[in-house]
Amino acid sequence: MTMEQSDRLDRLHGVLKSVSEPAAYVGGELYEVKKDKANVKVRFAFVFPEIYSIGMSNLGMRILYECLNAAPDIWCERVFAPAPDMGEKMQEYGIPVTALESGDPLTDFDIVGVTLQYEMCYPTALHVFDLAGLPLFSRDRGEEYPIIVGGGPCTYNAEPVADFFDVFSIGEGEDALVELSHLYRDMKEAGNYTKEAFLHAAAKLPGFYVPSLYAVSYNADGTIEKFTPKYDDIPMKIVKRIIGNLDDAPYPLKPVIPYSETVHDRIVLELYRGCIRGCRFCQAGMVYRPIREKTPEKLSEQARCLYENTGYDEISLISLSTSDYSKIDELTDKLLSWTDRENVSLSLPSLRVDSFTKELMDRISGVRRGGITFAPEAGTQRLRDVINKNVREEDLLRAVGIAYSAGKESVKLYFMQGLPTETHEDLAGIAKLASDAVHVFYETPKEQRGRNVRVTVSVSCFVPKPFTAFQWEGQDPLEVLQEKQLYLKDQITDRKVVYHYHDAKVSRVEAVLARGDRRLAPALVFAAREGSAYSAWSEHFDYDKWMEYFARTGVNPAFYANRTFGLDEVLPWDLIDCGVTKEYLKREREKAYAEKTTPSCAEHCNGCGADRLGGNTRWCPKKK
Amino acid sequence: MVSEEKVNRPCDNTPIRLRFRFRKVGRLRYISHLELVRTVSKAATRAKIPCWFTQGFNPVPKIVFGTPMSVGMESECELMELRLTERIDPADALERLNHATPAELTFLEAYYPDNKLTDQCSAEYEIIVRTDKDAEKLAASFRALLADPGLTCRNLTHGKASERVVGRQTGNAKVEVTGKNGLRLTMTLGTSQGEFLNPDYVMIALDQQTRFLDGSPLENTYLIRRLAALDKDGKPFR
Repeated sequence: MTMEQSDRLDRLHGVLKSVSEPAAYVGGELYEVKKDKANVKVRFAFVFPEIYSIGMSNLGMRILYECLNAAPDIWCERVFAPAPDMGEKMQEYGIPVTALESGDPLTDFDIVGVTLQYEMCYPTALHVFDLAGLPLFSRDRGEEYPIIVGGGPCTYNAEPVADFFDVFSIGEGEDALVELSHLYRDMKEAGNYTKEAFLHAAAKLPGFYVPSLYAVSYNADGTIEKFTPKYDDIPMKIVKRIIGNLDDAPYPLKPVIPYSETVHDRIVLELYRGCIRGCRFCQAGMVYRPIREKTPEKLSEQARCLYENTGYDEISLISLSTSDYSKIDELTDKLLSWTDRENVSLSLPSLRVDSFTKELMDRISGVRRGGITFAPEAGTQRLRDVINKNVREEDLLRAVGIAYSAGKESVKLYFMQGLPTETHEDLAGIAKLASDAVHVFYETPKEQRGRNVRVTVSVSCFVPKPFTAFQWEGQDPLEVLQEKQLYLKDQITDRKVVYHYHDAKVSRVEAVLARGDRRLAPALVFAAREGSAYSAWSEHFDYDKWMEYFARTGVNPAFYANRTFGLDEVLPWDLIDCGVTKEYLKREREKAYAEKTTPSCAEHCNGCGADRLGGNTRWCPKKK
Repeated sequence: MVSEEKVNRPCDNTPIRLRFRFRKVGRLRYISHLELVRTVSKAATRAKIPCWFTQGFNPVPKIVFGTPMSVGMESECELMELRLTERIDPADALERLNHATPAELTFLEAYYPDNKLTDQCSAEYEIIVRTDKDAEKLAASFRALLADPGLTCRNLTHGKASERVVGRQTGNAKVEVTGKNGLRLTMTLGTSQGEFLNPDYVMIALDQQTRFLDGSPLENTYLIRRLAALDKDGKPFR
């Protein structure tokens, strides 16, 4: 620790002593990257607008920390939002938000990167800007301030926060953020850096969207008329960046290891990106295409290395649908050859019922017990066909049976309500399916099953998201969503079934932000400054306050959340090209209303358009 | 399922205990006891130390710590013992463990002990006070209060009225003024069962009498540092 850091700590000591998790504000963990400020050309602060224990679990942040720090002339440091108790003390005593590695305030940095993982974190990000002394609006930050770049899944429609950011990195950031940093370095060294010149140059790099260089005009009915570029030489479609070969991409083998327990305290292996399924409500399944898999050899090597470096006793195999990984058996064989011996267990989140087998169950039931989760998403076959979930009731009951016969006593089922075309019959179907899942337990031979059973039904509300087949659909009005939640509650009579549902009010605000445009910015400023900075936390979410922010800034929330957007309307996210085409999404929408399913990419190429982005895709070549 | 290799209990019933002394200063002062246990447990795995694993459903390396400290305190003399499946060279274990832990967590010494951790009786503390009030005046009131055997810390738990007489142990305390805004207190307090006294309680008692922490916590605070572990004769405990 340097003298400077030690002085800062001593000054902060009285405050840190009295907050709930002081370790979250001091850094110093194993594998944090330290560099000499004097020897780097670009200082990059990576902000995760959530508290430390949540942010430290994020794989994307770990990957980008690795990539940026691999460049000798870039020093990337971590920044998290303070928990509310610390945030209050910072405001009271004028303590700025600082980066964990150096302890320096964000105003000392060249580039501040902010990952936008979830719409409800927008006010948290602005709260961090405030605590860091950064003016919120991009236009108010002069040459003396760092460049603020946004990234992450929300940038597929970042229009609600467009006025706060200088630039957005669209798609995968491994190469892109290093390129952006080096553009900054080169312009500084050449002496031709101005914020305006830099942003103009960045807008010409592939995958960078500079919102201030596109003016938006609106029609009389409030819809967008057009985007007008400020320069002739910047693209009208910003195509997202992807990593072609994941085996060759940098992967964090020495992730920073927190002292405290974080949300996902384990080794994380990313099997592949993209998804072969085409669920019509799912944004991740579209925007991460094309599918690119890592080889079992590479994964097994990385797992062993991570185990040696971290000492964690659990390996989580993650992707959008882990059992769809084409070499799952080969991979688990390789891992099991040493994990059992070392008391390391495997966990597989995101399992699909149709590709879930007894063999796979046996492989993961090793050291630890616990529940198992499946996501049928809808209660009837008709509605599952509408959303293209491609899961049959018999598949689900078979999968649940396998889990029971391996001794599992707790099954969790995820559903969504408020889906397009949903009726009360579909909701009643959820109750019936849960009840059927309970019965399977009693049909499982006594010597195989556990003693008791519990089926948890967890129901969220449908939120229309950009770049899905349902991006044009209006969300059910709040009263309808709430009425449906209570109706389902009445339908569930089985005492072995536990019913959880999400707050429909959160989903409504989420829908406003998900399909919002630049006119939401003033409301977000109110949210950040008038008590809703931590809206992603249910205990800090206040719906009435949000409605007040909207009312005070002339925003009609129904215009964004509940209105069915016109198929020919200019959408706020039309400047972004995520690979999947609008034509494909329109076709999928038509098939939804016709209750027709679309086969997975493994069976047939449906022409989504993502294959033109390239990459060593496993499934797409079948098209030829 | 616990595999064969991990169930390798030592062949006789005497556990092999390797004791480590480590320093917990700087940023590490904010690491809680539980976080430290997790950190050392994973570090021992990384360092490939032949730890004996607990025999429960979730086997973990067996680690025993000496007197724990509250979050925010520093120490030069923390003690912990790892239970091993075989005797290894202490110097080698020390090096490997230091290699597998964050830079600021330094293990200073490793040895096979001939006594128990519970044989430690007391600890010597240093408390650095930062204040924006008159340091000389504050020192005088501290001296008087610490010399009073009846000095009591009140309202220790939220809501419930509870108190602890701390003055019985603070007779040995010394207070010196270190410049315009600082004081340095030293005292020896009990650590054995029944006699354990958290130095924070002493400081809370002093604050309840003098309100020396009033004002901004950036200017008014104190830092507790444990300097030495002592045995029943007041000699360094090893």
